[in-house]
Amino acid sequence: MKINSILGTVLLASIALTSCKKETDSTPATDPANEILADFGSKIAIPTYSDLDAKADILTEKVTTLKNAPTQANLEAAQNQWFEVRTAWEQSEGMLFGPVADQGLDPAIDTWPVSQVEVDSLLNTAEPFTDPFIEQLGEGLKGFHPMEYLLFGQARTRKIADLDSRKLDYLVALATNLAKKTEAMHHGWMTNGGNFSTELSTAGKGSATFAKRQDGVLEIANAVIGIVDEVGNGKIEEPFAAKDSLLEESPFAINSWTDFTNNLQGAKNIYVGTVQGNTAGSLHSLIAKYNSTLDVQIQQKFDQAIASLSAYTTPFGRSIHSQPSQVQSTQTVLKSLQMQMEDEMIPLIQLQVKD
Amino acid sequence: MLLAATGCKEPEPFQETWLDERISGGEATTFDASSGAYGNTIDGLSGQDEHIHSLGDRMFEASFVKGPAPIFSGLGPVYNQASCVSCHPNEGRGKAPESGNSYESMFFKISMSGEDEHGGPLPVPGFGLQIQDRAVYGALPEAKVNLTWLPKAVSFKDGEVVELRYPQYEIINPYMPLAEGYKISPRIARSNFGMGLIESIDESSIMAHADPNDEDGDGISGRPNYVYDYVNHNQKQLGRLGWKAAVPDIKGQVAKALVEDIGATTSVFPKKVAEGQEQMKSAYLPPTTDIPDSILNALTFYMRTLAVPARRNVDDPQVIQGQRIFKSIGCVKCHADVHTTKVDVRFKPLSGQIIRPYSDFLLHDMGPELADNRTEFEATGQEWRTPPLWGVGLSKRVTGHSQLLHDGRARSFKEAILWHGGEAQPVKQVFTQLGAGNRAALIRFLESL
Repeated sequence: MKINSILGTVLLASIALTSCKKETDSTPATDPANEILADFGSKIAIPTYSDLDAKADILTEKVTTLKNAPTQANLEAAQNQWFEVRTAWEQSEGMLFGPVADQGLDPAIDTWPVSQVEVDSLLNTAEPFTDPFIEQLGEGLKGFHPMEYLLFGQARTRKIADLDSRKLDYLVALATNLAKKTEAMHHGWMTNGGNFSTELSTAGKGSATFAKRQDGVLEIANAVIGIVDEVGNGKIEEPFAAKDSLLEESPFAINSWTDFTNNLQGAKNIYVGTVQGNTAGSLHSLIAKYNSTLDVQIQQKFDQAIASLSAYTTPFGRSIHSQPSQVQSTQTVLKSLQMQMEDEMIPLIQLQVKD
Repeated sequence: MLLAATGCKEPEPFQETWLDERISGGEATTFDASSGAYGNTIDGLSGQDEHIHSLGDRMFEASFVKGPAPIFSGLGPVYNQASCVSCHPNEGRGKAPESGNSYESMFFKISMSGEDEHGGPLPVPGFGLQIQDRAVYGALPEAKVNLTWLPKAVSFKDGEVVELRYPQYEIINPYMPLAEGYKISPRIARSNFGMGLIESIDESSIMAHADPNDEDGDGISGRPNYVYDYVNHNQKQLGRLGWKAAVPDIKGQVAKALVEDIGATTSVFPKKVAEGQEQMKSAYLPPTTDIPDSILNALTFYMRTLAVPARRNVDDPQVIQGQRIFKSIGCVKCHADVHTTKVDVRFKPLSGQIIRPYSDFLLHDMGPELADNRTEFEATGQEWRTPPLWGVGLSKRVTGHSQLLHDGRARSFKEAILWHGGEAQPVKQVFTQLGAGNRAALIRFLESL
């Protein structure tokens, strides 16, 4: 849940009025906001989606190999590659704006829950698994989670003997469709593709999406906050509050804690501007320039939250029952991180990046 | 003496012009201008209210599946989308495809001539009131609708030519023959914020703009749509929501969308829309309804408590110039800027708010080119509700596209204005006579909303 306070903004406005005299002139070349906007597409988004797309292509290869030679070893290789793609995707969820949102690609690959009754009926027919057929299926029948079900079965119980040719055909078609969607995400940011990178780099200078530089920087900042909110108040809170393991998002591969960790790691990578070995202009350099304490605290809280997630000894679906106080303490860190970014980082950006 | 003299002075009556232009939704305003701008919670909710809002938020994003299923059961057997968010990405508006027959966030209403027992549209045998173009595996979609865009050029007085487009629809692959004489009407999914305020506007604030017989002779009518309230089973309620103001309240709107768009039944609409159709053999029927009242109420509360984005750049001289033109050429006659919500001591955040939705929420004849020629309660085939304009300036950032109007034909503010006809024809004509600078200023004002 995002709470946006009028009072907060009015307060901010008055801070802005009183503080503007102190503002120092900064030349565009050293302005961290300009660096964030110039670098985000080329050094953050494109490397992220390029990596995701490459891993999705390998997954298609692995499941094709599995189909052609259904052995336990090939199943495990496909399972491992599913984790690889999943990691890249979850880390990319720290920037769910641009092509991934505008083209509906997120629900097309990451809809949950699986429509199990339909999957079962589908597997019991002889319908050919062509890409047009997969494309027109409901969202609960494609993407990561039906693949997870086919590859892992309930709670990682899948054995190679369970996978008949029908399941393997479906798996290959799903992987192929997933790779098509990740390619669209990558392409959407490329300058010779959808060119969303330029929307950000020209923010305040003719961008059709971001009229002001502030809009572009806030978009990135809000995306980072958005995934922290989603992990704390959605993915963890929902099953935990209801004490209902059925609400867990990744029950087949038992991957929820890892998913949450990757969400936060991806968000932190975007915050500090380090993705795939690139170092980019970042929120970290912008915040550090004006309030180094805040920057340190935000990074520390990211680290605390990630460390907290690594300390669980049972899968998420069980921890919500067996380790409730630990789950609560994870949520407390996440809440604190979210509030600090909402109440201090956003106003600071609004104050320092005005145009 | 002196004290007494000043003490007796009457306070000056509050004037709307004193209000901060940015505060579009009164206390229910958000200053978030990012792509998440439409999804903010209003201030002032109690802890319990926040919990219900959050639950509604999760259900808004939930992807329904065919039952029986342990969670989110209720999809189909025929449907348009499996989740609310699929049609309302980021709580924003949907869009029309570039061509073809695959729709992600728009659908088609369908009906026969005549009225049902409540004065509403008459269902088409075998199809009901909406074409569900998807079905659960094993069932047939009711039909597909093929979309083709056709061009139309319009010239401004100064010579600028704008290439508009308008849609042509063809129903293909109906699962059974369609009755002769049916009417279809496209519907882009609308954005979700501010509905609580619209629901709370004092009826007199809306009716103050009504002029059904154009007694003031300004060429603008403004008719209320009196509709059936499916939640409380009352006749002749003032319709406020939807493209034709055919729904009086949020709960009715949510329940209608759940059953028609997703297929999920509630206590308001306890029957599957496919009832009586052959697709029902693929349906799972739960012992009660698919969705309990607690979830329906949470979704309703979520919609009611989404804040309105604040305006931006209100001090920009070009925006101020555009605002002046918006008023002087008459846009504001239908896109009425200020309303007041009724006092509701039970729910302060929406109570007694002075808001700027830029709509009179009344029906207007928009001319033959926009007409769907399909009646909906008292709305004729040429009438549409004035859509509120608050937040519209952020639509591209929120949804990635800038389509406007009920069928998404307009790709910009300029195109949307140029499609205005009927009662709005004279105002549109004035717009085409404006110089490029004034036109740009008007658009800039709309972008600030």
